[in-house]
Amino acid sequence: MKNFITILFISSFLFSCKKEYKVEMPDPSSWALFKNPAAQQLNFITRQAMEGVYDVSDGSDVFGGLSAVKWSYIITGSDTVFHVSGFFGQDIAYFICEGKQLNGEILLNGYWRKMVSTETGIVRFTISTTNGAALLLSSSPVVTTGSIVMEGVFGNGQEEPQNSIVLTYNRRLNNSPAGFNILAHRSGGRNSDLLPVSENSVEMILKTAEFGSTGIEIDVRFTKDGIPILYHDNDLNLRLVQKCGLVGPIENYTYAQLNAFVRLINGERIPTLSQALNAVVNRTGLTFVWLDTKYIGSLEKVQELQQEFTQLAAQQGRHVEIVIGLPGEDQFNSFLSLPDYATTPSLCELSIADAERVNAKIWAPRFTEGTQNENVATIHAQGRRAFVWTLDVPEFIEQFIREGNFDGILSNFPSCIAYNYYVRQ
Amino acid sequence: MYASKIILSVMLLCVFNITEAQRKVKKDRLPRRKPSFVLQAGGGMSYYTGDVNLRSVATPGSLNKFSPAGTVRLMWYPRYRLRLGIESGFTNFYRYKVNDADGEGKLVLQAIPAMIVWNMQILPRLNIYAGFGSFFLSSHLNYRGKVVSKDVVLGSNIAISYTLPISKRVGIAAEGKFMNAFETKDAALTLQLHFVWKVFQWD
Repeated sequence: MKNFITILFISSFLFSCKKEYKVEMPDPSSWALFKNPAAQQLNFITRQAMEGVYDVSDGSDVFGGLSAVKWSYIITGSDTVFHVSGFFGQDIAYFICEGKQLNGEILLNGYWRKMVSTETGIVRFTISTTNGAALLLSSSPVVTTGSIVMEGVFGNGQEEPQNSIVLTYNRRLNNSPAGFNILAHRSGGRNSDLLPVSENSVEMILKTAEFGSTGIEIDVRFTKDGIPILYHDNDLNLRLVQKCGLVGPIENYTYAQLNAFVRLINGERIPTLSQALNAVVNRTGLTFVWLDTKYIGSLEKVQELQQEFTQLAAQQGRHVEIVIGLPGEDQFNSFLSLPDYATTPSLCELSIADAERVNAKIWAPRFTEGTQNENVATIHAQGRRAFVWTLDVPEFIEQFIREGNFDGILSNFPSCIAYNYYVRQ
Repeated sequence: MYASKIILSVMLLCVFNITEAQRKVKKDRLPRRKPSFVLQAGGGMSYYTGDVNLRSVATPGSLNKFSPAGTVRLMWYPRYRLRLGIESGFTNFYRYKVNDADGEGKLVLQAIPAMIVWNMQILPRLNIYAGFGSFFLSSHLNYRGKVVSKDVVLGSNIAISYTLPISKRVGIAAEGKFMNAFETKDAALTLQLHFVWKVFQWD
């Protein structure tokens, strides 16, 4: 009997469930007013004038006392779609909305999310004519403290939003140090963060600016037929791809095979590096790409694509900086064997001396080494920049922005960096 | 981490269980049965019971979750009731086809278990089994070239079998088994007929 109980115990233990967390993204399309055919897109002047740091009054117990409001865009065919994001200081919360004007009012409709939990819901804002819409819709708005009041409601999940949230304009967004890079890990965040799109996908690249990113880090591997693709792990696994029957190292398969049989965890195809860079250059306003080389081998193809898309961006009048990441000795040595390595933009995660040796544009230590202000000063004196990775704890992000002198921070929570950078005074 | 915890817990339980069993067995209470090694081998059909959503890739209607399945198991029957053994076999978890602009293709996911198995007779002729170990998974892909790619994942199985003795050393068993490659969330239910042979007996 005792043995029987033991077997039962083992069996129940083995087959017991593991809780799987899910975020059901709310559908905010039920707001009839926002769908009114007379509602029009906001123009550039209005969008730009709206950006700023806002005081949160109603709703501050849920989201914190401040919000950094910023617009982003993606290009879809001949259309450009704009989103306004609000980054909060509590629980890595943010909202992402579309904006329209209707009858002299500004309407914002979208969703909010907390990255520390699965909490999400619909959020809607109205800027009435007397609360700043008239000013924002004018030809040359001069926005001052208190001149814009965004009155809104938010709810949980798919429920109709009823909880009050009010944002009042306080000041302009901080932009010091200028050119500071808010970098999104794996193109926007990990799959474990339960985002609506998969890590290292074109769809995530198109979405990442909504999270506040100005640049991305993406992971590069090669297929069996030598095509550079975006993929983080060594093998095909359920963390990254939907169940498809393919197992083992990703390098065992050609790109055509992966394209036909494999879908990323949210249904997207594994992108080639070329497709990813094409999306960055032609469809986003991102300005920085960190190619994290996850394989050991020649970097020539990666270098070719780096040059091709840097030039393509330049032809379009855009500055997109694409750097080859050197995370270890193997990649470092491969990089040294490139013909023009000294003039090839790179990011070195090794020592300052190594960064100097390959003439890396950027030195990128891990965050566990601290703010390293003396080393960062040395790097700056050499005409290089310093980025730090991968900072996810809000307190550390706040500390590194307050006390450190880094030129960029890599995080799975770019919205948290965006909040701490933009609200800084 | 989750898998490691399971392995550790199972190992501790086994050690505890075997130690306890050995300690408490009194010679005069031992059943008359003699220790032996028993070989079981057989086959049947398996049905893949894991969730698999291939709508975005597979040709509609091409997913086949049925497959032949086989098992080979060698058990040590000691004097006490909990028996220990090793088990292997084969099955195809599932197969499907792809038909797109670039051509046709098919994929078979094959699984070969390698398990440590515990077994106990709970009623005359009725045995239950619980196994823990690995599945050697291999993808057999034929789409613009052939690829066989392999992986080893953790898994377990549980089974119940009814044995019909034919002679003193030989029997036939009907067995239902649930195989669970929990690391890849693959699972299958099998129904098999086994040939049971007491290959060696002593004492």
